Amino acid sequence: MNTPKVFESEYRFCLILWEHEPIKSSELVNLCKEQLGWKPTTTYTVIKRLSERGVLKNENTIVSALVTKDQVQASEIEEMVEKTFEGSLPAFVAAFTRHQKISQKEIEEVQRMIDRFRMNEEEPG
Amino acid sequence: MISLFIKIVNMSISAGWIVLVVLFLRVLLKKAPKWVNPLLWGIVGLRLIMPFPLLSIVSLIPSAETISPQIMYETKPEIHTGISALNTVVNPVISQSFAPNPGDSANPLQIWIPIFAIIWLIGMAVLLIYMIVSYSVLRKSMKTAVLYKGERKSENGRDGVRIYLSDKTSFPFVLGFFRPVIYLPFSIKEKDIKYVLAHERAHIARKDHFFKPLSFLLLSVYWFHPLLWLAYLMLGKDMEFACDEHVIGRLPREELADYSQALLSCSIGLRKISVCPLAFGEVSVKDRVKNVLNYKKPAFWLVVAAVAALGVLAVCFLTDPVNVFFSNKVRENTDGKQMTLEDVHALSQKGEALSWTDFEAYNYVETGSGLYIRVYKIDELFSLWVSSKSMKAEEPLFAVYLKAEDGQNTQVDIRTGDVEAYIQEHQGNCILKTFPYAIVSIEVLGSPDAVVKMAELSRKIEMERVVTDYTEVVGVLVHNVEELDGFWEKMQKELTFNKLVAKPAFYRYAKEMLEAAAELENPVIIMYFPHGNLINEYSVETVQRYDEELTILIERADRKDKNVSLDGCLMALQINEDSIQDVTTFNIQVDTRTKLDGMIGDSEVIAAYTYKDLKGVSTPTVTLYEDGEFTFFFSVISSYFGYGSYQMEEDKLTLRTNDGRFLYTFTIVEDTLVFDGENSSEALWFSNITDGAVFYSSLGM
Repeated sequence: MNTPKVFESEYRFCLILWEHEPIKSSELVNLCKEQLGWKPTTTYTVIKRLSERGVLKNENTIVSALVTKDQVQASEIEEMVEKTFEGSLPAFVAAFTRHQKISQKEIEEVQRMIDRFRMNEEEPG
Repeated sequence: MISLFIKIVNMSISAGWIVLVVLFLRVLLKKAPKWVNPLLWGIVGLRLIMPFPLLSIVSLIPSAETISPQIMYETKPEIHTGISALNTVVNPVISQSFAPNPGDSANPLQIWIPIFAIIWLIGMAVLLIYMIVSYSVLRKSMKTAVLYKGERKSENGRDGVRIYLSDKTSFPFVLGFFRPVIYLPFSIKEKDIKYVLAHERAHIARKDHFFKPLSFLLLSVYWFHPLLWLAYLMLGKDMEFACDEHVIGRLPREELADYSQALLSCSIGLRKISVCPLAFGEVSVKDRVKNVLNYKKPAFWLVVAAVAALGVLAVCFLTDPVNVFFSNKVRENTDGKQMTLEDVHALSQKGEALSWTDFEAYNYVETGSGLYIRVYKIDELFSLWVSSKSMKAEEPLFAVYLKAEDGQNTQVDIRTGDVEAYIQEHQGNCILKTFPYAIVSIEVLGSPDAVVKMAELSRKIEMERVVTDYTEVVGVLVHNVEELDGFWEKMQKELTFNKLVAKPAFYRYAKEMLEAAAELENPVIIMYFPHGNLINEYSVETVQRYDEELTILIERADRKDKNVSLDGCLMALQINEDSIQDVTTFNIQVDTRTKLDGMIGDSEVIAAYTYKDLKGVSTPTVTLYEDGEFTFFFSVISSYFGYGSYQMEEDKLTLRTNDGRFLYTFTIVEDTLVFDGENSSEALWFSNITDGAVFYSSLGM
């Protein structure tokens, strides 16, 4: 059977669900707010999305899971499929760094710089 | 809106200069703390925001108004960059490309500048839309981000900043203007979190999350200036460096390696997906790691120097230059003595040793701006022109020319040339007093025909520009000084005198002439006739008589709708029967857009109607006066305006010009006028008024 795919944040949601299911959707919303920091609309959207994907079912406002934790963990979690901002975070947002076209050679070069620095620091005096 | 566009362009040009200076300063301040650089860019940003710059004498901005808002109306369009070398390179190209040809209906810039303005708006809209859309998309996808609960308390928003983990991004970033939130990718390694958070917090502490989008906003307004894109790019880089330094300044030295490691690993991500090349405004990892590992706390004096540079930059470039050297005022000295030919002979003996001190005693008229030029009048025919870079006594003189005003346009430098020979050669010539157009004193046959003939002839012998078909020129007959004053007052409102000629001088000469004429009981006529700069043929088509008032009406000789320049000569003539006794002329420029209120008299306006000409650049206006007269201004590029009396019958309004040549009919519909093209004269003077055009009441506007 094909286990439906679950993204990382949805996985965190599922953790809550597995712990408390079956659970009233409104209570689920509260839990998500507390533990995940999600707005109610977000929770409801996720519930809807996951039910469409067959991960859970929502009957008469009672939510319960259709897959188990083991099943999900076993399947591949494809991380990057829907990452919207691969390499192209809007130009006006402050970030740490972005993905760059960095060659293996350059990676090694930078790594060497770092290692050399570490060695120098560790030398006494 | 066009003037707003031109102002925006001028502001961006000013800012562009600052960008160049900042680029230079950044190189100088390489070893200075990196938080200075974003501040330098901040000054550029300030410049772009300030609509009203302050003035100071230490301003280093070359020119506050490179493009004049009037450029669309100039017959010879130019820009004033404030750097003469640049001007001499750029302006000939501009004048050539955008000067109105004799065959064109309007200055091409009147078409191009609005087009450019529209392109600017489109560009701005595109960038704003990009910003809004990408921001919304980003926000939306962050909805499912989960709260981060770090193991150590110090990592949990103790400063109130919430931290989230998201699976929709592979980079850490900060989002939000007022309550920023830090987003971390799920894939982030545990050991990197500490440093990433420190960096993002540095961004927040420095308010980058606010300034970076703000800069982008500014960029979307000024997007057309390439240097400003460069500035934005560099600002982004400098912000990153500044944040790195903010963090590592507080870290023990061993941890620099760990920080660098975090930089490296976050830049790589999962490399099996193809990644973009260095995105816009990115600093390469190598440079950042280099900067981190080589970090040394900057010396105190460097910090001081950097702050000083900042201050100097602000003062010199956030202020505009006060134009201390440009002055319309032309000076003259009438308290000294008149120079004579004997004096010239004596002075010429001194040769190269001549300096300003030798000329101190004499009367002069000062002309020129930039260069100092004084004209010492000797007699009707000769004058001495002395020019130099400054008025300092020891300043070497460029030229000391004896010039004969006989239209031959020759002169002799009295220090080196043969003065005697020159005088001999020119002494017998007719006196032609004018700059630069020649008026020959010839026999004519009674005025005003006399005047006309004379004008005709003067035009014919005028070398480059020949004008034909003067039909009738009427001047103001002035009998005494009071009448001269009255005329003078009216003309002052309409005409501006170019800086080569002293405004008071014309009046003074005219007055002298009047006095001389009064003795002989000769009339003095003051008239104006234009000389087109680029137009080779034009005619004074119609005369507007209003008692003995002068009005200016010219038209292309071939009667097609063409732009005509109104610049010309104001001339005073003393006429004795069939000859001209005395002539004096002064070049002037006419502001085509002044209203001729003074000419109409003091009658009350009872109604005014305007046609919003969307195709052209003007708003034709019909104004009705209480005393039954009207004015009909057609177009900003036409010198003709209709003037006469009107009649209103039921729903018809008829305008008849005083010269009897033109008739315009309108149908009155409520408070609008509808132009009745079929029952009106064809001459519409460069306006786009068509049959059925609706003129809306514009009183109170």
